[in-house]
Amino acid sequence: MSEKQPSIQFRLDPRSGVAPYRQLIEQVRQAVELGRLRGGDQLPSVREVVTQVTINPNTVHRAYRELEHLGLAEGRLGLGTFIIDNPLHLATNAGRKELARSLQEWTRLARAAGLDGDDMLDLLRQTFNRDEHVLS
Amino acid sequence: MTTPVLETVGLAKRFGRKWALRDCTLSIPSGKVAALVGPNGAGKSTLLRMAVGLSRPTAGTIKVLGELPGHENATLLQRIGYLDQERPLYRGFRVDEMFRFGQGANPMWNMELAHSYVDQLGISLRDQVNNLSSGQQAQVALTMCLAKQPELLILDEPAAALDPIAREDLLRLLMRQVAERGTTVVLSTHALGDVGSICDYLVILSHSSVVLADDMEFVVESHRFLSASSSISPTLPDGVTVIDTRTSSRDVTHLVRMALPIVDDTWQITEPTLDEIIMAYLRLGTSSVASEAHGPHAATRGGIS
Amino acid sequence: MTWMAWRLQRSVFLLFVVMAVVLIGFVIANGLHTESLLHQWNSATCYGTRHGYITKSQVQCGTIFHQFAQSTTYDRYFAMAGGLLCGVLGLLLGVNLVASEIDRKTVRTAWTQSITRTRWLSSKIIVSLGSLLAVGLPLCFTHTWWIGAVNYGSRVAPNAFAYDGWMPLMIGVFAFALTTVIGVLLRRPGWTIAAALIAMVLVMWTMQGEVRANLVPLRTAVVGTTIVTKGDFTGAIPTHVAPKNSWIVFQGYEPLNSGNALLTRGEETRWGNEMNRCETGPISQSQVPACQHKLGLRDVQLYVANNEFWTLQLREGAIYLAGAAFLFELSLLLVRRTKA
Repeated sequence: MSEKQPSIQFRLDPRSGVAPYRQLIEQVRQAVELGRLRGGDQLPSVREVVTQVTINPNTVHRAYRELEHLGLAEGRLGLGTFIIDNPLHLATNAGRKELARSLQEWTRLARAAGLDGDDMLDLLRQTFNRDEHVLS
Repeated sequence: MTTPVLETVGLAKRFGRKWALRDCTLSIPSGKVAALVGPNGAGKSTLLRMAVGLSRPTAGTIKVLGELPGHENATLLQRIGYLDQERPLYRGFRVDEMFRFGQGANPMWNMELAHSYVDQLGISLRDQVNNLSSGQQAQVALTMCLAKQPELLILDEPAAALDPIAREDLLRLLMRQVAERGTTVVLSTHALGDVGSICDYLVILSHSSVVLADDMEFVVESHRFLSASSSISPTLPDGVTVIDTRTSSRDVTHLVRMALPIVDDTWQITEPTLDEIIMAYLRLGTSSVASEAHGPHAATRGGIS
Repeated sequence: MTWMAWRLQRSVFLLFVVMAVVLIGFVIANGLHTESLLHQWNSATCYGTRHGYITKSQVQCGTIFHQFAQSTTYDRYFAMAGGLLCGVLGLLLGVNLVASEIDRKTVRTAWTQSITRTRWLSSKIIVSLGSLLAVGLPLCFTHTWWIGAVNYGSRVAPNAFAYDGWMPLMIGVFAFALTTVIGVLLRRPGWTIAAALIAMVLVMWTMQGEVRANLVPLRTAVVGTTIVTKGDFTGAIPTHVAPKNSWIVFQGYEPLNSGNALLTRGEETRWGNEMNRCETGPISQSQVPACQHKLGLRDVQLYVANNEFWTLQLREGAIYLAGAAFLFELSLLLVRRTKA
């Protein structure tokens, strides 16, 4: 069998509490950031993914749609899903630097107020949860 | 909207004086991998057996793929693959003999598919069913269901009592079928880990009735932990239903189902994991106060998809 | 489904084929041997008048008689084995059909394939009937020949009737149908076999004791008595008795105008008692005719003649067959309502 190696090997931790589709998105994003996935690389087909990890194919579809939505990948009809040539994350990286700066500032303030790392993460998570819309 | 694969109205089953299932109203949309979760004796197997016509309801109706299941309804049986909890195979048979039986009893039987599946799992067609490990027996039993090429798979505890590798192989085989053929699956399970990774629809049965039935996505997004110091005793935000409450000497924590985003600074909000949500619902059935207060249907949302 | 049904009973069937072949081999060898002995016996004119064989061939006749006695020692067991083989095969096929599958839960697999339960059960029944026929027919043929060859005695009398002709096959079919129905109801192979065995014994016992004598018209032999005096000894010798080889269903006293009908049990004992009370004290042989005359009774033997054998076979077999057909229908009905 001349099966080509998949461009990315997914892993899934069912105990992490993180929804499986988010785990997939996160892994693609990391791979792109680390340069392991480049523009034009094809993501493994849904069929390939379900033979790699025990996951519902619908979840894989959903993760890929989300990646398209995030501007990281594009679906090419009849061919599959590909990482786009000039991933949007490069643009967001600029924005990220700005965010990171303001977060540094905020972290300094928080530490002065007596919060430790865990407290800060909790606060961040809470804020995030409250803002997240339930019904989309 | 397509026909639900499994639709029940007021379904009930009684064995002697004990109700195995009671007033079960449920609608599972097609194209899903639906998990039926609940403690032992909650009526999961009873429900699944009624769906394939092995058992008849005491009250209420059940429709599978829009038809009434029954032992004389061969056209419906042809569209369903059923894996029993006991995975009964003919013990003295060889694997190829099991398949020959499958071929004789199912017009849509795909022998190549059956051969390729067991081949991948390293099971020889000449092996006797008796001599296979329990994991391999489960594989053969599932292959029997898959080679029938059904539209709907009804699996009762498909991965129970299997070692982790066999479990993984079995579920992957199942997911492959879903990916390649778009088969709808309704499975019962104890393993909450499986629910999160392979299922996208969740039905929780507790004490012979349905306490939750919804898209997995929606389940996670619509539940939150709300905690606050018990000294302030704050009022709950509008539109939330309390599923479970934990109190310590200092604070009170509710697991709530919310209909709207919560904008209330008095509560500290955290996102529960799927396991935590399921556990809360399972506990809901054990405390009668909670189930009376909210009713079994409080948390069910029909077959919206 | 035919293949499946065959596969499920293959081992039982093959086991019984082996047993049937062994039995048929024995029966044929034994039958031929006995037949030749009988031929020698007749050609040596060993049949004497009253006192047994005549003196000149005494040694030869003694040897033949001895061999004959040896060769027929196990007759009873041969006869029974043939009948039993079919019955037991029917029983095992019947318990395999549904009860074993329910017990091993394989019905849950079978009943969720793309076939109706009706088709599932009917194909299994048909294949099992084929197996029964394949084992039973040769057995019935050889046994029927053998019972004639060894001059077993009356063909209509109960000692061999159920093992003769096509009865083993019919009993096998009936046992199979009965066990199938019991299996659907009891769901456990052990209990099913036990219940079916008891039921079969009851059915065969009732058939022999209550039903069979009513299937063909009975004949009546009015027994006379000749008083013989020889020295000090005076005895009564019955005359005009039923022919040898008939099945005597009733022997005793009945009113003169009774015809050929069988008396009820109450009547039988009544006339017997009346005869006993006819004289004070024990009745002696010489007083019997006088008593009969006084009470208006006659001494009779009601019997089934040996030449009614095939009529009786056909009618009794038909009853078993009809019973089996009814039980098959019942099992189809029950299997639709049973839970897995």
